[in-house]
Amino acid sequence: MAHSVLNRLDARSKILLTVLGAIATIAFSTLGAQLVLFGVSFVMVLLINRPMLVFVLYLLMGAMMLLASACTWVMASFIPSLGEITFGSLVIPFLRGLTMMNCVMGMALTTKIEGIMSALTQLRLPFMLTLPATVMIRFISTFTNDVAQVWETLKIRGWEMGFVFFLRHPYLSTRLLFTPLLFRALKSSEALGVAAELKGLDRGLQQKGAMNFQGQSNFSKADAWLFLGASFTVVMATYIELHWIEWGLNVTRLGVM
Amino acid sequence: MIEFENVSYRYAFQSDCAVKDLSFKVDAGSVVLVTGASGCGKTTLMRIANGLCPHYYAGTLSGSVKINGVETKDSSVGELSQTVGTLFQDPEDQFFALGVKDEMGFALKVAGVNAKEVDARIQKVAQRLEMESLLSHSITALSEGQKQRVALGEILVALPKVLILDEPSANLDPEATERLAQELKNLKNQGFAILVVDHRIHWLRGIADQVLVMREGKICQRGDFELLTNDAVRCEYGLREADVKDVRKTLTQTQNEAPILEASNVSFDYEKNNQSGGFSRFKRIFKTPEKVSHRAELLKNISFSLGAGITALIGENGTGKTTLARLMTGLNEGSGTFYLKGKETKASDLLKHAGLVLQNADHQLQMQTVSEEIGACLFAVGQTSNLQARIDELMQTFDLTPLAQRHPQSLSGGQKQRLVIACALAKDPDILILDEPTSGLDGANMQRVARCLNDQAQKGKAILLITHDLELLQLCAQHALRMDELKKNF
Repeated sequence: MAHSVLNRLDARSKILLTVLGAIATIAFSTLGAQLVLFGVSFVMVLLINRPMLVFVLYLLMGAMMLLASACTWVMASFIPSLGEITFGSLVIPFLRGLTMMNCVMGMALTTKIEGIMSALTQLRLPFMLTLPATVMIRFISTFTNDVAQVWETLKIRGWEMGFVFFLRHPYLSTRLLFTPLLFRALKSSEALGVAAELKGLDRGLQQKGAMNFQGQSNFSKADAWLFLGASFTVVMATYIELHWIEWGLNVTRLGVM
Repeated sequence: MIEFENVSYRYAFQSDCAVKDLSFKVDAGSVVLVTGASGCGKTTLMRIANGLCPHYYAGTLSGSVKINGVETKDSSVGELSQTVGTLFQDPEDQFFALGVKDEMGFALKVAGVNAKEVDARIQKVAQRLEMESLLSHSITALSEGQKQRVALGEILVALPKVLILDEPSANLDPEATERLAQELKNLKNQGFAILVVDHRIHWLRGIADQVLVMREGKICQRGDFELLTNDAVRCEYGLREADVKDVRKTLTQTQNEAPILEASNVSFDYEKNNQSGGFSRFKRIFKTPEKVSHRAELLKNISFSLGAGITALIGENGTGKTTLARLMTGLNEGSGTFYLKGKETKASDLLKHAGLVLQNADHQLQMQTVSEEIGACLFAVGQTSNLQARIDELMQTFDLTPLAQRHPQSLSGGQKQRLVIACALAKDPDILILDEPTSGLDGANMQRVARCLNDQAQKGKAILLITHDLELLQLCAQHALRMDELKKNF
């Protein structure tokens, strides 16, 4: 778990913040409002205190967005009825993705897994949601460790991985990085599933169990400040959504998804 | 306590049964050892006993499996785990929380046991297993042996009646293995039913009441421990030795004539490493920084030399053996000076002259076939002439030729291990460093690895062998570097 000021926040606050982020990114559709959400969530992800990790995540997200843009462009070329694909029509969904990434990473890397599980249970969410959500969030830290080990192995083997190598051998680079990651991801997810079952999570976490874990954290002043900040952000985004519709890109409310 | 009656199991989408017609009992207060060559069905047997088959790994179970008189078919894995504690070969497979103390109390808290009682039980078990100092650590900062102790502690905290242990000694140093043997004796006397699945068998002499030898999913031999002292039986089933000499004290200090590698005043501390730059910084992008603890300064002013031949790096779990190997290859950044064949060389450049085989083979396999995997390693270091001949030579050396077209990730543990050693040798390194290369290997595969290492030593390579495997040491170690002696200046 990253050492960060976000560790002081209660797990329930971070989960609620993530849910609020998800609702807000869907509800708002103007560039101004999305930029507000993105800006605030970006500050939050920087607070996890791992700037290089954030940088690499943004690079990966950027690559994914480029790929998505290319695919959309190809589709639009063959199916003209899709209409013209403009930067304006893509930027909002991309901002939504980035905001959500910021919120989820901020929560996943600064919260104990038992805290997340306990919080989900106390929020009275059904077990069929809490278990997969817990395992998915737990998977993030396993996966980041796997990435580190795979990268290390490439160095041990003598691969001089870098931008030039990637340009010269794009297929080989992709294979070297992603094949072991794919197999590790399969194995790790299976192992996490087994571990969850053996620990009795297949029967669900009862409120008594959740309280056992919850004993480790409680709402504090920091949580109050968080909710105040989140409320202010939503109010600001709402104001911009209603009054600055034409600001930035001329994006209509329905044509952005 | 554990009762198998005519049990067969076929995994979903498989035409053959993984285990066939198994019948045996493990009574309260007894220990049963299951052994056999890799792929004989031991792991499936274990999964059936703890309910993972068929509840998690779908398939068809026939016959009757009872734990404490209750059919496993009629209970969930979670319910069974309150009676059955399972220790996996790779302890990381059973960890869910990320802190040692959190992990040890996890299952109990899920079950609704009062947090104070959980804490009291954790303290008691930690004291018993001499692991109190580990409680505040992050799981990722532990050595493999320490992880195994945590996994065992986690099971004991839950107070089960039945224990299933898969290769419990695989990552433990001989002293820790002895302590584990003693612990099993105590548990046996307390009435636990214990099923141990292991390749290493010598440590269970005087503890195992019954031995089951498996081959191709069936129990082929059964008897008391004396069965394993029969050379013909061990040879026929590819088993390890029943009596192993501890050669660690008889190995001489590494020779100093014409050293290939010399290290002078090597130091390492976690705190500095967390703040340093270069490759470590890039790796830390993904890896959570190690938690700084009393271990912060792990190695200080270590000096040694390494000549041609096989040198064993010996020391207890968590003393910094793997860290030292990583420093020698620039994967961790410390201070000190290295000399390669008399010439001062940066730690970061040493990797060009060294082959390093780490414990987890899965991370190291990237290509579509075994042949391509070795070819890619040769390509990575710029060897493009006589490529096919060199690939064939390496495959032949490590007995991989029949597997040339197999996908590397589909190989067994022993086959993967041989492949990663072949890959490490592809760059023709001056130094070969292996970290627990025979963990989880059966007798035949362990001997094959030992033969390969001996061949390489004869070719003049300096081989640093980090291992707790006494049989491997007996078969091929020539010299020793001892961590306690290296750390005298600490």
